[in-house]
Amino acid sequence: MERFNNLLKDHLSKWALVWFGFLFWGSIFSAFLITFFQNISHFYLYVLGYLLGLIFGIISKINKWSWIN
Amino acid sequence: MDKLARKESLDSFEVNPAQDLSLEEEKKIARSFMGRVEWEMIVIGLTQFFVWLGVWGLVINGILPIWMGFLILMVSTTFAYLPSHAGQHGHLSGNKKHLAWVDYVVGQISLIPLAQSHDILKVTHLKHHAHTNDPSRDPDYKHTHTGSWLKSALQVHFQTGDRDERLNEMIENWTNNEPKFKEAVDRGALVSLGFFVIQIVMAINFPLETLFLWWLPRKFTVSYLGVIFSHMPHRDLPVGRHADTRFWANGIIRFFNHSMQIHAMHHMYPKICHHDEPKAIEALRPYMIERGIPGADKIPERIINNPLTNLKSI
Repeated sequence: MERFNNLLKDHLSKWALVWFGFLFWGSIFSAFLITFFQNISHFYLYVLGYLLGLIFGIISKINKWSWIN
Repeated sequence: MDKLARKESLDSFEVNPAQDLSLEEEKKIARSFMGRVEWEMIVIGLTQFFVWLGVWGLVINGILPIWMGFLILMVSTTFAYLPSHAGQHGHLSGNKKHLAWVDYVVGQISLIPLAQSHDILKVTHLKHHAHTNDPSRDPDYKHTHTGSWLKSALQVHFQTGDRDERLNEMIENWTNNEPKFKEAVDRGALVSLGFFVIQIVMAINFPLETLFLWWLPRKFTVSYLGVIFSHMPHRDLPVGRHADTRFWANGIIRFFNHSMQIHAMHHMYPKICHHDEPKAIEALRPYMIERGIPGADKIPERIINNPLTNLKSI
């Protein structure tokens, strides 16, 4: 259990912003896209939203934008 | 709006030369204001949390429009920090050991809208008290001593993460050298991990609600705290118990500033409850003037429900 905790801690210390960008901001971007583009397939909007979130997360990690979470 | 109790005293006050202004006498007076359970903060902490919870429920069920929920929580979330702060100083338990759990439980519940760990805020805040305005040891230094309130409002968001290397060095140093500090940080890290996961789960299920009812109000509140609780009382002041905090005003009435105009009292005696500070200031005013606390000579003899807007920013 302690080994798992250490692995998780180590992983999140490096990748938390990327995960947060991908899942948190990806969900929010998707919701905005669906709100504004109701005629387009939701599947594509979800893919685009989560892709934008992932890019936002990576940019945040590079720039150390801890404010995103 | 109430008027100052005795406005004329602002210009005419003089310390009574016969009064005993010794440190012992000052402490004796200060102690008379310590030791009670600050029930007001318990009420504020729990109330604002239930408002937050209630607004979430009403918005999710379509009873309240999201924009209205957003506006309500932008205000109520600003009340989330002070109850935790009171708990950090033991005010919620009256510093009674058998009630210490109240400090933690209410403090942590109150911080849910801010998604922060009470333990981590406590240990870093106590370091702020111990080393106020010291650039190498005050965790709040970087967002406090900025050129403008706007810079503070932005800078405070970089307090966490890798960006503030100076703060990271402090935390690493205390973690390595102080076992109790490390224990608190480890406990707090679990709470922070919980908030990290919960926010993601909420965003997946309720994306716009999470943005407008949680993320934005707490970011706004953190900026508000950086400006009103750190920048205004401490900016550009030196290290020193009677020199590191000022009395100040910004033209906005005292209660909208969470009484941070009188934050100097808190730094002089942190064990005095927030709601007892006006009475304590009245009693300790001659000592504050004698010690040269910035702005102490400008405060009125009586501090009631007044705005203190007569205090000029110093």
